Amino acid sequence: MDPIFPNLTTVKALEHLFEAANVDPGRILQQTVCYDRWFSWTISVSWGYAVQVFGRHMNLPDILPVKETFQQWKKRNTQPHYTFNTRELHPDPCQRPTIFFLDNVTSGRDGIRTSYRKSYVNCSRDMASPRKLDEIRVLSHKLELDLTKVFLILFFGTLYIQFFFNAQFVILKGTYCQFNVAFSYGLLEGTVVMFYHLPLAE
Amino acid sequence: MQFLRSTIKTLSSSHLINLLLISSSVCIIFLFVSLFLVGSSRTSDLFSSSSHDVYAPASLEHIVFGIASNKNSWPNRKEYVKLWWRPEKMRGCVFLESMPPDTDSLSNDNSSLPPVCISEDTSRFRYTYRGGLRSAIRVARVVLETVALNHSDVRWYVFGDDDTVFFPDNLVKTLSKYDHGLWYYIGSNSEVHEQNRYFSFEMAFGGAGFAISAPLAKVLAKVFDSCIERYPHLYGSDARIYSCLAELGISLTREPGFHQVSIH
Repeated sequence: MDPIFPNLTTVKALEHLFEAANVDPGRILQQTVCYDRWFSWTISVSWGYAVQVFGRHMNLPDILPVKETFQQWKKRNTQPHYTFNTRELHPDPCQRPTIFFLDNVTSGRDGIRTSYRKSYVNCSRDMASPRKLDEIRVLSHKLELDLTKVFLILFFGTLYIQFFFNAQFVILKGTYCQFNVAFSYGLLEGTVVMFYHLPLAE
Repeated sequence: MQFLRSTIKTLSSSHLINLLLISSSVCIIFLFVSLFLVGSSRTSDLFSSSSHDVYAPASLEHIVFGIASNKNSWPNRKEYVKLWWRPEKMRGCVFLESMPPDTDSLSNDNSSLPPVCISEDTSRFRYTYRGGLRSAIRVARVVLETVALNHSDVRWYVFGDDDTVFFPDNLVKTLSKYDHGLWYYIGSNSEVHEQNRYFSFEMAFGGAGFAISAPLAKVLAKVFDSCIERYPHLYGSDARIYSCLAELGISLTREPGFHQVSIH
């Protein structure tokens, strides 16, 4: 099993995740889906972990299921049945959404800023506009979960997203972000209590 | 009797009526005052379905952790526990069957890791699952041995493996949804259907971590050894714990935030 972040060891990848988790544990890995009107993109944010950008508007039920970036523990002849919704990964990497992984987390008076850097895929054929982005910054405030909110499954939160092309930024106007408690990358759901990682030899 | 008759005869009827009026008004006033003074604290107990209001807010101090490990994996896996363990706030123990070979490396981490406990000998128990690991008995008894540490002011016992990673603030908030005075067994199924079918849908899978409320944990600890003698044929520790809790009449409360990620 690969570490959850590319180019890091298993432990270093978890430490990286905890950089964000220690700043806002209530929001870690929670998924928010935003629709951008200017570029007609769909942005799926798994806070503190990764952002996926689709080059067109997509329905929520097509985005919320987890992409099968994993296999079952023991190879069996039968199709694995996971106890959550999944979608198969497109065999062509250039047909998949552009992925941005957590780069760093800063916390200040104005809130919390997490930035995500593009995970490079060699796709000269597909110059759909999300591939031209270098960095995405997400601005948010710490999510304080009290007893009443812990019971809520769907509620509205606010994320403010900035796109960076070659270090010049374009501010998204009119981005509608609906906060969903859902999976991202097959890891977690609900209020994230625990994360079980199987460390195989690297 | 005669004395009583004479005293009754001496009281005139008007005095009697006055006495009755005064005593009944005193009673009514007393009733109102007592309701007013006591009602504000008692009625909430009487009418609320949970006793959340009575307890102080939950925090990490109310949780005791029991982490199952072994001497071969602990030197590497302790890096995972370091990610989430808060030494100044958390209580608990990591259970190994014996000290790891390289004991020097341990002394550096004492400040950032839970204390190490050595599990008791389990050779008296039978294990008959073919191809399984006998350590399942030792790991199951982590529940019993963690309770035996006899910490005070515990609300929840939380159990996991040495590669179970917790988000402590979220754990506290999730457990505070439940009344720790009641008997709760909280965890989740595996994320692979076949595993649930094979082992049990009613079992909290150990790798995901699970929680048992303190009153239930104490009762479970008392009956545990005699219970697991009836289950030598089971594969895992979590199945033994599930079986013994089932015998106590407890079923699983599923919390989606616990994740058993049995995937590649």
